[in-house]
Amino acid sequence: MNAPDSIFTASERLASERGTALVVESSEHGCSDLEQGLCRLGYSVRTDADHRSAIDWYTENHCDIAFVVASSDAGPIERTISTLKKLSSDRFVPLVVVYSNETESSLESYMSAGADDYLSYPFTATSLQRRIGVLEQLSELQKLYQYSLNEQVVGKRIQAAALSSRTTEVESIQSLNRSAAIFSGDLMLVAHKPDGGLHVLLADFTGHGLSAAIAVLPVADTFSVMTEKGFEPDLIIRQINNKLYKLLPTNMFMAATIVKVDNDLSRASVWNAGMPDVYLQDGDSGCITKTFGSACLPLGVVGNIESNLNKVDVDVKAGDQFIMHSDGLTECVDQEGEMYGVDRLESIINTTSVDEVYAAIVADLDEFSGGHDHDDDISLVCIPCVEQLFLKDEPVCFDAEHVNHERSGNWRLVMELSGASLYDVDPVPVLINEYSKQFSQPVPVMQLHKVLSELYKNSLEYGVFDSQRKDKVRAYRCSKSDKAGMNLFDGSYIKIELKQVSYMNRPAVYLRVEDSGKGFDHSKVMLSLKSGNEDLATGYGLNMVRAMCNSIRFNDAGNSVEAVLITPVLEETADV
Amino acid sequence: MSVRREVLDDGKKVQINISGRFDYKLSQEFRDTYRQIPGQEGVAYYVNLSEADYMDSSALGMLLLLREHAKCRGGAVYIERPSEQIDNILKVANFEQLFTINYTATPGASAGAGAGG
Repeated sequence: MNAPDSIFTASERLASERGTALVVESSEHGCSDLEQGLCRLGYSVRTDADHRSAIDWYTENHCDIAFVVASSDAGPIERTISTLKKLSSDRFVPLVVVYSNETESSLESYMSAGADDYLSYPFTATSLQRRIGVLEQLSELQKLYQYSLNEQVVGKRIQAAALSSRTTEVESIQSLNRSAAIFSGDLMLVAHKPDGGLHVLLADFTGHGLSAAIAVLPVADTFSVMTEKGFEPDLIIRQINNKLYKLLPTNMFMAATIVKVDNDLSRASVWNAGMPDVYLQDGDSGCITKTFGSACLPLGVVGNIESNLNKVDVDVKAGDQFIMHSDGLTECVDQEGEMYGVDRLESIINTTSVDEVYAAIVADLDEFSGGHDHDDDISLVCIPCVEQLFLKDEPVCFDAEHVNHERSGNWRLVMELSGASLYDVDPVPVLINEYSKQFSQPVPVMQLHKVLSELYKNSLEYGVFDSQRKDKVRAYRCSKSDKAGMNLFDGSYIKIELKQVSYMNRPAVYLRVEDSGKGFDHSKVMLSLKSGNEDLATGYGLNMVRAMCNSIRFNDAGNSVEAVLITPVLEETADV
Repeated sequence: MSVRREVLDDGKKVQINISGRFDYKLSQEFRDTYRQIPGQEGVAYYVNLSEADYMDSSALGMLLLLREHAKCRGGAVYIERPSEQIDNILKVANFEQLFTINYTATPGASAGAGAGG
């Protein structure tokens, strides 16, 4: 230490295994027992009679324990105690007040000023040793606690980095997440479907510790990957439920809600498993027009939630807004212990316009809580139904007349559906998933999804479900009887083929969809496309397919269609 | 807040009375109320929430643990007389799918009539 030698007592030469002790004492008779006792216990002791100089020394030097001796003739010591504690706020240095019979009456005020412990004078060597032993244990615990806090801070950074790659920033969505501890038990994720539509998930884990922080990662993975592959939220929720059921102990679960907004801004769906009501706020009046209550157990509680997983569909219009929140918001308490409450939240929503409601709720919550600490994580998400929610992809428009079938790969992916599977199975996400795994080049997933979905839908509706069968199909949809389904699709099939080709010397995806139907007069449709009159093609979704594909061709009968999509090169497709 | 246990019918019925806040701070005490009953099979647990005024998700987790404990030993769990606020929390979690919830003072544990297993 930098202290001048003269200040140390005679025993200073003893090894200072325990570090440095500061003794601040300004009484006339001194406290030599304390210095000697500390030296015997292995401390280097710095004694200071002047409080100002003790504080100056403390500012510049490292110290492991501090003693402030109270005496009736030396004036108040509270300011010295509080200054020393403030100076060591970044680490724990135990501060002990040494008091005598004369100063005992002030003990309470010394402790309030920040002292950690007290020692009555005179004391025996044993009592000093025992007291220091206890303080050292406390010091060790403080170090461990600090270490664990630091670990959590690092963990939080890692978690944030991991989550950032599994969620999408959408500027028009406003969200608040205030965590009660370092890790939040609330989770908000956003992902786009291949058709540009949007899924937003808000979830709330039991607790907000490390266990919730770890469990968040597989949830985020499942949500983002499945959404991007085009799976519907009910399948995503089922998958998350199964994962959490295997992963979490019995007493932990995750409440979750997903809002899906279709890319044409006309329809939305809400799934709510154990979360507070989701609100739909009307864009014109600002009033709540619909609430979506929890209709299912939280996730991870039972192995199979299929039977009670309910979604609610709703018509929306541009300007409407979905509002989601976690129970931490309505259960937030004020200084008097009163809860914020659902009524207060609903009343603000009903009296505030869509654009201002987020800021109004946050401001009202702040005013209510008055900076009071909250026990639970608080989340609020506002999703306005606006065009900016959706991904706008730029379709590649090549005006090529012919398809070059020069193969650059030697494998192909074929899926054939027949019988009831034609109605029950959605082959598009499965195929795209498999294809993405096999294909060495980045796949234009969004375009491929749209094109494949449209061509498959055409085959299903105009090929397999021809007009004579449509009524029966409807009946099958109602009854869902396997037997009826088997008979209905007897002899029908749809075959989908995907492979890697080279098109104009660039890697491309080739797809072919063939059905057992009679085909249709495609020449008129294709001619109308070429002439710029798209009305006829719109019914078949072919204007969109044509805009996205580099080439499209029907066979003569019209029950088989081929299309080619150029695979974007890596530099152009950082976001694909 | 507190947890009190009454053992009735030779240990075949256990009433657990919760008062005040039913939250994570009661984890250990709540667990002790049923773990300390040695090797009983087919016990009916009545969790009386009539005196409880708040419940957090950890408390829901505690009920799930008790349910698992009871199920493994051929027993059952009944939730008794939740206040309106607590009932809302149980409803949001759809816990009526997992537990029988009695809204009136049933002849459950105290009268010894047994509401079924």
